[in-house]
Amino acid sequence: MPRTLRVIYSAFRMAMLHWMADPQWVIPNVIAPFVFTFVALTLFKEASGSFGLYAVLGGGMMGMWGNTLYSSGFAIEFEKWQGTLEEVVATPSNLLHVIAGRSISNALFGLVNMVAILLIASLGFRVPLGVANPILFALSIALTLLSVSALGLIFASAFVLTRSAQVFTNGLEFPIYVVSGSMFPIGLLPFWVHPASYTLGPTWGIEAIRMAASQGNVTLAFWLNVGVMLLITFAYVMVAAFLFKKVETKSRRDGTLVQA
Amino acid sequence: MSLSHSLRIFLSSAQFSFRAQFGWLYPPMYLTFKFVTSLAQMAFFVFVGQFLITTGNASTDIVAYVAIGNAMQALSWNTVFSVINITSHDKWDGTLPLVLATPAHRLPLFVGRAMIHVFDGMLSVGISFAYAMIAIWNYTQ
Repeated sequence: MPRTLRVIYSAFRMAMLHWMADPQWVIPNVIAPFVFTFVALTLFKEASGSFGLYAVLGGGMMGMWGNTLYSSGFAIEFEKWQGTLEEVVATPSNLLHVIAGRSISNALFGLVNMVAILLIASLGFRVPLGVANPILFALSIALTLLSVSALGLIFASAFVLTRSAQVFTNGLEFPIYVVSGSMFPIGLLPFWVHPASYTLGPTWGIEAIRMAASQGNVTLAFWLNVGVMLLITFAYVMVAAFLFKKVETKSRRDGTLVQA
Repeated sequence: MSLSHSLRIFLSSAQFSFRAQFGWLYPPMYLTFKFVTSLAQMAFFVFVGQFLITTGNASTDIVAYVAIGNAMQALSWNTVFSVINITSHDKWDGTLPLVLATPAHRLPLFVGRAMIHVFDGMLSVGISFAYAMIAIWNYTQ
């Protein structure tokens, strides 16, 4: 296995083990998004058309985002509490790869959350969830998962330098839910919010997921959404790599990593 | 233990608990969290309501319903999350043994530390209600 992949896999495995050893994350990562979906399904109960799908896919998306954001924010906090942050930064492995493994693991838990929400909505609320194109549906979810993880990497780089990562984590949750139009079309948002919406990979991802779920034969718009999301994801990774390098250099130079 | 003594412990622990959080939280961030997060949460539910209105699946009353409910829900963050975290933060910061070793009576000490977050939660509700009023006014015009 190439060295980079080995580091990402090790961080991924470690995050999974931590997650299982400390199941309190179930509350923000699984129960909270489900509660929002429950509220949305209750609001959409009398609605006709594809509202159930909007609520359920939106809830799943929120779960994925919540997981990634928490993983980015708490990964660094957790290392500080355990007193292992210095070792992680001092290791010859690239910090970006370590955090990437953690972000992927937590986004994957978000995916599990999405599947759980789909099942509960289908069985408990009798929401019709016939997915028109299962293959493209799965593909668009997997790519959105990567995009969400890449966005989490950018936040994680900033979280290394602050003592308030937890506050950032909590504070960024709802703005992203709103701006990415997770549960409603972004056309409803004021026009000055649209540029922010279009720079978020999840905005294009959730649109692609909805299209794959509702259209058997997807149009060019689906591939356009996927293409733009991939470009944005690539840009996220580039920005994150640059920021991690800067942050790591600054931390080593100032020697204030643990105090931050 | 006299009433004035208990009151003094209550007030000093409340004041200290509130000030102590600024050891790890910058005041501008506290204000941002207070105003921006409340706004974003309100916006989320109001836009969900607007989605139903624009597609003809609900009347404009739904905005008042979700906005007021959401404003009240803002209380839960401070009153549940912050209060629960009081002893957890003490553990992480290594101050729990000192708090338990103090001769001060436990009841006013812990109630004081918790109550300040309840008042802080009331402030959050006030801010959320202001946003709710703006949203409702916007939909009733």
